[in-house]
Amino acid sequence: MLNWYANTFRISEKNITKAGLLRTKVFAWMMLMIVPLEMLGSDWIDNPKNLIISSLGAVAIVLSLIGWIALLLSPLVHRFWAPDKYLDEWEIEVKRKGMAAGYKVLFGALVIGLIYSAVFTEYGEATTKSLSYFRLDSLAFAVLILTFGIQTLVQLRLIRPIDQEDVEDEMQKGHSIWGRIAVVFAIFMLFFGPAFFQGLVDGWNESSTAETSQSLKYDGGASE
Amino acid sequence: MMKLYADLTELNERDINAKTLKRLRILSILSLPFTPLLGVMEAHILTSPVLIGLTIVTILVSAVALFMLCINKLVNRVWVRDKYLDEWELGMKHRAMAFAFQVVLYAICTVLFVGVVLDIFDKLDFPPITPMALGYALFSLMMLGLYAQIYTQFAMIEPMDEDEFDTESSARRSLKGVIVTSGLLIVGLILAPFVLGVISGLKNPEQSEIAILSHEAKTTCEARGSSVHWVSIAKENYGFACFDQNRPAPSDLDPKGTEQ
Repeated sequence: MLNWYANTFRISEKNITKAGLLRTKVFAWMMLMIVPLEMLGSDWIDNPKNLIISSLGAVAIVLSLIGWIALLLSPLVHRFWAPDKYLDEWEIEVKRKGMAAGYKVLFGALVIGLIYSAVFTEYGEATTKSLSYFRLDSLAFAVLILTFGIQTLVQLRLIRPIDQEDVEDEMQKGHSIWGRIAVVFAIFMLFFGPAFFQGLVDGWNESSTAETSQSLKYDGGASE
Repeated sequence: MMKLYADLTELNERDINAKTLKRLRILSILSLPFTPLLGVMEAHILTSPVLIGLTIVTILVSAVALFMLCINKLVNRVWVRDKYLDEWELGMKHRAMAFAFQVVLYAICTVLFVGVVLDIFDKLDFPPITPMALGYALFSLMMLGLYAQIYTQFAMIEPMDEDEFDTESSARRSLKGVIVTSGLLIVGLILAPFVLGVISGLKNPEQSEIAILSHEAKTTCEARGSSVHWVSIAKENYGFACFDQNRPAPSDLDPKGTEQ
């Protein structure tokens, strides 16, 4: 399974050209656009009084989603999540350096959160300043995206681009896009599948309840 | 500053011999119960005084072990900037941090999956998260990363033979490093809350009186078996009262915890 994953996302010469790296960097920055929005919370964006901020927020969300999907399809992201035994020496080095940088950012975010909670526990109104789970989830998601983005950007910075002329087109034939799409689909299903099916079941139940109430109404009318 | 930190945490032969590594492993195992037991205490699960006492003792022992672990040079060495490290140390740092990163990130993903996707917190009707609970969750994640990092380091280091190192200079440097690092850690840990306390005290001198009175009210009322207490700091009516949840709130306040 992991061998298949490592092979599906094998880095080709085309990925590490100057243009390929630049494209991935742009996608990484696009994905990071969601971080400040997630940090500020949805109340701040869903403000009908401030249409400019709401529109900018909506654009940022769409761009971030595009960046996220493009990054998930990129071998430059997945390859470094494969186990070390399937990677080359330079890939292992880039992977570890990028992850070490991501860990520092993650640790920093945890320390800032810890200081915030210490200050508010001690000096704030601890009972009224409670967070909802929705808010906590959005903060966790923001930290996740931030560290993932930093890790990717550091890894991209460490890769030395090759010249466009050196790229052999035949190398690309071996790598199927379907494998990558399958992985992205699996990730999306993992996160959005349960909610989708839950919605489907709820919708089904609601429609059958509505039908029952309608038929009861009809029966009631007939008996009268 | 970073140079000083690098100098203080410089590793010598003594720090990676079999005996020191064994001591570190014991310390790491001793410190493991600290985070879960802290959660147990905060959740107020335990009711037996004997169990509470035992838990407090265990927490204290693991806190000491954790502190000694945190001031250890080997643990601190991975936080030194790359330019002060040699090839071997760089390899160890990057490998340990990469593993810790993956562990913490997978843990966050699991929490997100349980919270967002499965919606378990809402379904089980969990109470909202207080800053204290948030702090505990963040601290747990930090500890998870720290242990992942430390155990990767242990797995990577092959202990040196006792005969190979010179004892005099390294012992002196090690002691100096331990003293300065622990000093910095203590100052760092105490200074921030101390400054915040001073600022808060200057801004609102009544705050401390409320805190002391609230604590006194809480302990007195709980000792009487009354879960609710009421505190007032009005100039004439400075005091508190305990009363039963089912009874109406007292119209006038009896000083020093008189049952209404």
